[in-house]
Amino acid sequence: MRRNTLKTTWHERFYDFYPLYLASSGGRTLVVDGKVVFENDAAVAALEVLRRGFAEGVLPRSNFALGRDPFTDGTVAMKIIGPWFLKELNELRIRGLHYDVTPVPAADGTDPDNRFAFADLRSIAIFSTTRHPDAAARFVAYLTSPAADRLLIEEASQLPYRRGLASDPRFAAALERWPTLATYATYVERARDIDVDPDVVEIFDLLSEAYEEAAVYGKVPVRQALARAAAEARNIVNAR
Amino acid sequence: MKTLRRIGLYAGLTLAALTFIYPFLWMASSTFKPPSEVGTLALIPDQITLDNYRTMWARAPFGRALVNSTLVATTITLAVLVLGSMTAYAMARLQFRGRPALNAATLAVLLVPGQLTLIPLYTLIVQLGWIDMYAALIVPYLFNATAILMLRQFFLQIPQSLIDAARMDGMSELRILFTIFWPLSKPVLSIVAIFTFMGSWNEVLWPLLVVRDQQLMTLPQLLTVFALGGGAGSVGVSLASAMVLVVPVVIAYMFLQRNFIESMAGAGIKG
Amino acid sequence: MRAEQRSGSLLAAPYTAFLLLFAAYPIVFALVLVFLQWDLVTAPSFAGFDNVRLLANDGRFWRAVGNTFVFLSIHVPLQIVTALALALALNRQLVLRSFWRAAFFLPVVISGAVVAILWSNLYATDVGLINKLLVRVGLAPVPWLTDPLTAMPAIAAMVTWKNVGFYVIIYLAGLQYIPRSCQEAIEIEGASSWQRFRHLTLPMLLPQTILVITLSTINGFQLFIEPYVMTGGGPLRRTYSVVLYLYTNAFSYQKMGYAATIGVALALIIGAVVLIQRRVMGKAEAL
Repeated sequence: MRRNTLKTTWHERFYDFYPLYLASSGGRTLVVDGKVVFENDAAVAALEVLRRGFAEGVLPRSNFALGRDPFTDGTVAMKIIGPWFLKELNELRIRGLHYDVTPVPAADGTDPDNRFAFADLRSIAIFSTTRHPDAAARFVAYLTSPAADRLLIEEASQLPYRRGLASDPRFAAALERWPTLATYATYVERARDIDVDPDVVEIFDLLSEAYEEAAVYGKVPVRQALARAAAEARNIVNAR
Repeated sequence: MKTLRRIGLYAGLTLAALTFIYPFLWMASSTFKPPSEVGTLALIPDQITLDNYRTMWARAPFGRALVNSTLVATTITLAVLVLGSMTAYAMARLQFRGRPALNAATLAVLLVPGQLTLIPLYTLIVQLGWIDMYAALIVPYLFNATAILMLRQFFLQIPQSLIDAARMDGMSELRILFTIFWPLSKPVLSIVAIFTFMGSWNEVLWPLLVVRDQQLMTLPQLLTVFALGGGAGSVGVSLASAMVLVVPVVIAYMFLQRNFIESMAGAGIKG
Repeated sequence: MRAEQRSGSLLAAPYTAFLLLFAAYPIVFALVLVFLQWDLVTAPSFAGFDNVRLLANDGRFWRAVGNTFVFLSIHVPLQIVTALALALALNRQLVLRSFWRAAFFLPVVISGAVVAILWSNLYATDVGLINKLLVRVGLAPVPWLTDPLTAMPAIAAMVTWKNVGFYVIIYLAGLQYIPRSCQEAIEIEGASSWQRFRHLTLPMLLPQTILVITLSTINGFQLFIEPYVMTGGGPLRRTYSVVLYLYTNAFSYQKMGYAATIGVALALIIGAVVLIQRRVMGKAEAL
């Protein structure tokens, strides 16, 4: 009997389908210029590897919502996660836990230099109604300066969205602060966020449905589930 | 034979009643259990703990939510009683132009499903700037069509002679309503009061739409957000928050159950 | 009487204003929204029949409607049977009669959100009370809310449990009206209890049964808080209700026009279903 406590909220795809898809898609996202572009082999490969994982019992069927992290307590061996997790791991200092970092696996035949990663990018904005535009501008300049970026790396184990970060001597020392962070840094130029599209949440919902039926429950073949998600996504995007 | 059937009947009734009461008893007892014991069948915990309540109280503003719910429900109930009576009185005993139209409109309102008007009402609240304000929770409920119809029905039956005599004494219509009609209308007023208060106390969808600020959330809303958002972190804590909502109702129900049943069944059938 | 006219108009004025603003305007605006696309932040744009066309082709909407019919096919018969059985049991001289009645009615006064949270915990696969009881008697635990086949029936059972007290009261009221003379006559003819039930009680309770069917159908189409709290619409979207889809479109996808379209469609569907039910049951009543 399948015991499932997975809740497939749309943003959970940031930790399974989307990174696996980006690794093989050569940087192609989900919807570009109002066109649905995710019905391709990379998406099939991503869903297929997830399907096999669930079918063979190697992927956990729980959200582990009640405060437990399955990676830190040794239940699972691998986890798709961002660099901010390094600080957490370091602080927890779990005895006997040795870890390393590897890029998200890609489909066979993907060019290693063309593998992309998912980055949940954060922006800085100044409101046009601000009463202190100069001070705000100077503060933003500071926040994006090398000094502030070094602070970001050292204090939060997060990465600035900076070209050439991995090979930039100004940041080499900061990156050393956290083990394996340098590996993350090599992907900064090859990072993709979610599309800035009004229907992106709904498209992630559609993909979650495909994920559930094809990968988690294995009720529908991967290509069919993907085709249906793409068709419904096209309906939505074309109705705009 | 008859006694055997009687025993069978009482046994069946007891079993049925248990299925209705036991879940609440289990819920109550779970709130006093430590995490290790939650989920056990025992009704009396081995270790009684107040930790669940302490955690719940600290994690989300339940005291504030209790105040909000009480404030909103009480205001709405008073408004429905007072404003509803005024309207029902006019519709029952005063002839004025447009009375039949108003009657028809009230009946029509009851036919429209809430889902149709949910989104437009929400956009109206946004345009009025009432999001995260008590006004959004209270004003759309100031008048209740079911209540007005019930009150009107009752007011129709009060003898005209009482009104004529009062008018000859020089009483204004409002005075007639509140000094003569109201004392005579205690049964229907209490029915309206109960179903209005209970409806408001338990309402969760509307607050979920128009209130985002945790300080303004009503009790069922905060409870839902808390349970879904994982803030509870454990079964005991989320059930403890449910208890805050349920205990006042159950206590009132134990004393007034006949009134509750009459009220909510009656309103449900009419509405 | 001029003074009466004036007082009447004055007293009725607040209600009239209220109806115009909170009843008439929303109904009209709902129909207008069907033809608009609006995210509440930017200005609304005219969409013609796009929303309607999208709805007609929207697999998710129609699956939600299908889910509702699955729910109703379990909930309505279960509701009738349990409410009728309990009402028959209560319709006699009993010790503590008001206690039993109060027990069955208790869940009716409890908030739907609380009932949903309570039953989420009762249905929980590993720590839930129901599975603990099943294991105790030697049966296997059932993943009530996470198995696509059992999720909606589980919710249907819970909603039946919550509302049965209300319908018991309706049936009890109906039972009071069955004339004693009829009951005595049929007893004299030597009819068994079952025959009495089938040929006297049941037909005389037809109006009440019709009411139970209508009210619980309307209630079923308005299902929201239960799937919202208990399953999030899953598993495999088997518990995704129409109102949940409406809510998601408005607040996750920011599509006010489409959400309003769903609302109008739902109102029409409810109206159609109730009308068909009345037609069918009206024929039964004539028989």
